[in-house]
Amino acid sequence: MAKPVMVIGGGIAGIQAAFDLGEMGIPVYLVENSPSLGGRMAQLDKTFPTNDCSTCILAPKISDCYNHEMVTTYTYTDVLDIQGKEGDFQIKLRKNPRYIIEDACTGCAECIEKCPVKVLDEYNVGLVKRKGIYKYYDQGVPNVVTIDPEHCLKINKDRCGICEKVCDKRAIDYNQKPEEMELSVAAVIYAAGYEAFQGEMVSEYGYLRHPNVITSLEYERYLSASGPTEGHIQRISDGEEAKKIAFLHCAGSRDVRTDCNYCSAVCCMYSIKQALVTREHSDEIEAIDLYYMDIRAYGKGFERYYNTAEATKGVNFRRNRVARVEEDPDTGQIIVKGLDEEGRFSEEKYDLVVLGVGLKPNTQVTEMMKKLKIRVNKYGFAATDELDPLATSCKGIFTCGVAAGPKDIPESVIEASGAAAQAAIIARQYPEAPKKKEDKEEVTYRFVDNERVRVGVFVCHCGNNIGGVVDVPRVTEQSKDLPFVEHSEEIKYLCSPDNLELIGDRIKEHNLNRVVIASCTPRTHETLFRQSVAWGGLNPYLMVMTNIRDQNSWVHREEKEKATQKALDLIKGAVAKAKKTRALERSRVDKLNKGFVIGGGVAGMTAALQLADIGFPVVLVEREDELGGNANNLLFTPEGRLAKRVVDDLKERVMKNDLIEAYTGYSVSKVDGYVGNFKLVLDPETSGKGEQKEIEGGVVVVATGAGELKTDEYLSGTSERVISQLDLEQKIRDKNLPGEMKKLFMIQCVGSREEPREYCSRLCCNQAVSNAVYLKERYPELDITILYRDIRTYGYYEDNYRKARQLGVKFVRFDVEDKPKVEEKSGKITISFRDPVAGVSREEEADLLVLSKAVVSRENSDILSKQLKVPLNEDGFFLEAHVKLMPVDFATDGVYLCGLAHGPKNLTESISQARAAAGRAAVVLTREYLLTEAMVAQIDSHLCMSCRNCIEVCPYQAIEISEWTGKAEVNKILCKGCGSCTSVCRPHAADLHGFSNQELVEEMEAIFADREPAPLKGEGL
Amino acid sequence: MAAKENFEPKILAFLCNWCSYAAADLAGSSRMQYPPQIRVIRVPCSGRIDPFLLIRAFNSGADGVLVSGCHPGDCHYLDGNYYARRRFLMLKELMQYAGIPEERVNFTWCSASEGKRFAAIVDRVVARIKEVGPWEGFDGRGFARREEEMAGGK
Repeated sequence: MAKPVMVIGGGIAGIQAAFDLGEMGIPVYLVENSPSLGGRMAQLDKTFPTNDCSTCILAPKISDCYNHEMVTTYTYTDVLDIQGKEGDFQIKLRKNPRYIIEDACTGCAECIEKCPVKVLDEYNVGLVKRKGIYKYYDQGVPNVVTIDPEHCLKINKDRCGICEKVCDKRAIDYNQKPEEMELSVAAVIYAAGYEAFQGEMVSEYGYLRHPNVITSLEYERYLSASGPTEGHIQRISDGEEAKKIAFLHCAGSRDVRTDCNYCSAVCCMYSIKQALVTREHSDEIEAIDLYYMDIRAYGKGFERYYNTAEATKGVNFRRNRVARVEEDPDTGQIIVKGLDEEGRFSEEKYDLVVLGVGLKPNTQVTEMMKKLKIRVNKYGFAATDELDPLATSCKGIFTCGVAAGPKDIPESVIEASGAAAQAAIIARQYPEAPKKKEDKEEVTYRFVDNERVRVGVFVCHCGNNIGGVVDVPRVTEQSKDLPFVEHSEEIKYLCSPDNLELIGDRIKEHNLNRVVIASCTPRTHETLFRQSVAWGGLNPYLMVMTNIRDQNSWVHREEKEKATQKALDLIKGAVAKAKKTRALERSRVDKLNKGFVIGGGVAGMTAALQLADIGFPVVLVEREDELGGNANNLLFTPEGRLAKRVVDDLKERVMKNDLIEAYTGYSVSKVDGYVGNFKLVLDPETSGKGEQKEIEGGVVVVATGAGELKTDEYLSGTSERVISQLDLEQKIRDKNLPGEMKKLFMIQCVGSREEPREYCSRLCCNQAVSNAVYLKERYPELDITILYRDIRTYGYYEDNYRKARQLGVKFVRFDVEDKPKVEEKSGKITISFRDPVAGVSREEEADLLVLSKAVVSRENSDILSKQLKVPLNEDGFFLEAHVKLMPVDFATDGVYLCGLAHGPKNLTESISQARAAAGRAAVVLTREYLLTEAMVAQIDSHLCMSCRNCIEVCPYQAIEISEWTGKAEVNKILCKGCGSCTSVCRPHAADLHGFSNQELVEEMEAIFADREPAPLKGEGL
Repeated sequence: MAAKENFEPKILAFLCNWCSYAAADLAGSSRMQYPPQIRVIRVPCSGRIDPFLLIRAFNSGADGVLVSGCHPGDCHYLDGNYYARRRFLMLKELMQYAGIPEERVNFTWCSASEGKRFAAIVDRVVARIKEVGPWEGFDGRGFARREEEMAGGK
């Protein structure tokens, strides 16, 4: 087993990194200083650009990570010190006392209700109060309470002690002390996140002075259904409904006064999101005004989202510099005064003003990094190199997420997977004997298929939680009389370790072959009870859980009799379902350990090297005769290194690596198989130049890149004085710039951000600004004007934008409806454009016009898309499984994505994503064998009519018509058990294990057993 | 037929595991109170619900059904809820055609953070079903009524 890795920070980045490492079979310590995992993302209501519910998508990730056998989670724990070096770090931790015995606490929250102390709730950004004993948030993991030692009456004044009295689990321990421990790990991943910019720091906006000026994080809680206003758009200050709302972008960011000169990268988008969600929440809204400098909608799918917002009634974008924010003392309304682009004064009243505050480094983290001699940049974030963006200056310590600079969720997730891949390389170099000597023996369960069904029913009191409402003794007694029930028992706390064992004992004692658990929610406890059933020698899937607490006793407290009836109905249903439940298995599928990387650009080469470094053989396929891709034409890297050196170095490392077989001049002509067992046929691009190859492997990484738009707009291709940014770089490299050059123009967004390419090409603003700076530094006399729509120098690239302005590069904005016009007159280029600041039209001559042309998807992407059965988006870029949380995976298992093939991005971002794709691919390759899910679909070939409906609806391409039978067949390794196929199957040939038609029908018929059957009983199953 | 005032409906709810079932759990952990006439069956995805299951629910004596999935775009299985939405629109029309009041078939979205919304949905659905009264079976009268209406030129 590999030596463990420590992940510091339990937000989305840390969770992803820990989960990926765990999946690679590497032990992980995940350390979080707050009481629950989840980080900032858990505080968000919705996420852009899909308006996904944040909790819905985050919660499954948290529980997968927390329950992972390789991941040990330390919440409420601080990192005190890190010593040592790569391969051998000693880390000192302090577990802060919760004053709760975590193993005993069931999270029932009885104590919270009774606690008399009220304090500000950090999770809700101090907008509401919580109790002195609390859960950080309702869905928080681990599901235990915490006592706030600062405010607890017992701890401070030796009074009260109510929580101890009401807890019959005896989980309260007022005398708990901090525990220090030292762990030894091979590598560390810093994912400690950020602090939201404090509203106080931008005093001119009146935060704290005016109660109706709030920060965006506060507003996020307003919008949340579980927040203080339960999603109603009203002012907390006086309960008034807010009908006019202003969002002020860049509150604190891009501001030399705050020392946060960088762009915080996410505020434009979250402000747009909040505007759209606000609109959804209420029809009463009169106006939502967004005050901004530039709208930076540069990520995948962002431009469309922005356009949607622009087209939404009542949402207004105002390019306006806010000068003053005042309060109308009579109404509490906020007056926003500003200057628009043309210098006109504006004044508007709002009910609520939301500050789009930026992301700031976490000061504690910065201090810790300084102490560890990890280099931090001038802003206090971890300093990283553009070519190795996930490594800190200390070998063996990696970083991801906002700890390394402002970024959004998908980029944080990408970096997390990438950092995990890099840490994995180190961890695997330091093998250790497994600590726990629990070599998993082959478990064999009792064969029960030929037995008469014998159900055991266990009803949990959950202390008073269920027992206080539901008449548990009566329910237990009546359960005894249900068909097939052999044993029925009430238990005070079913989930306590002794009672979990007791279930196993009862199975043996009564020779039970089905178990029904009536307790809390299966979402948190199913795994646990399955385990106890397994201890009883029974297949764990022979257990059915029903929820008589969260969805019964807790919500019908005043109606005890009806709640008791309901509990009985639910148990009847569960017993009936159990009757039809079958033993299930996760079957093993062999897999190959070779990886394919398609595309030999920077992304592809990086992915190949990363996979090889982890230890897997790689086949790298490149269509061109030479490796390097787009970077071959690039002069500079984003930070101004010579790109050629970078690419040459990568090429050399690829060619020298024994594990990498590179096929240049080849393309993929056929793909067979599925995750673990792909077979690719490679054909030479020019026939006769090499032989056809047929190679087998386990995973495929798509890194096919993108190209530059070919267009004739602005005389491109007609005049030799009109060139692209790439051409410009080549001219600089070849020292081939026109002599006597006095005036140079650049036009941005050529072919981007307008039909038919409704996306931002992301890298061109930075490229144009860098090139302008380069030229200006060498030729100070050169007059450079950049015509732009919005300058999108996100993150630290803002520094370069400021520099360009300081050097005298002129920036003139244009509207897409009024684009510049370009003509060629007597060897000179004439550009006519409108200068919105001066409010006049100008016509100027230029010696050279440089166009920032759109990044466009590869023309033949659709072929590969069909071969691999992975989708493209409307712009022809490959579409990942989930834009937020699965940015390098496809819905189809075993196929991964990185680089420009995913969407426009720069070299640094491609490198991060390539590492991530390799890391995710390594998850499959490191396994000895692949395991199918247990609850998968199955198609009865005797009933199948080969209508292909199921194939149509399967989101995972898991169903195919079998060559042998001509009938639909489920590939168990690809099936995720959603059951879509079952609902479209007319002859009911498709069925879903665990939720089969029979199980569901029996369950509901039992629930309604006391009812008269409907008069017209249909024939059916 | 029982008098409407004393009528205790029994309503079947199919909730998808990832959003709506989680919302129901959240309603519980936030101790929101809603009427107890609902019986929940957990399914992986609203896309799993074959309309025949709903017909069977009525056949078994349910006074109404509720199907709740993830919000559009939130589906854990990518697009199962979109299929479900189309399917239940069709089913609703069919039910109406058969003369079954549309109040009996309820389809909605609920995210994992919308405990309050879930409680409100149950409130509303129970009230609606109480309004339409006990399930009377597929007696074919609906078809006849429909025919009459059509003949009447409506």
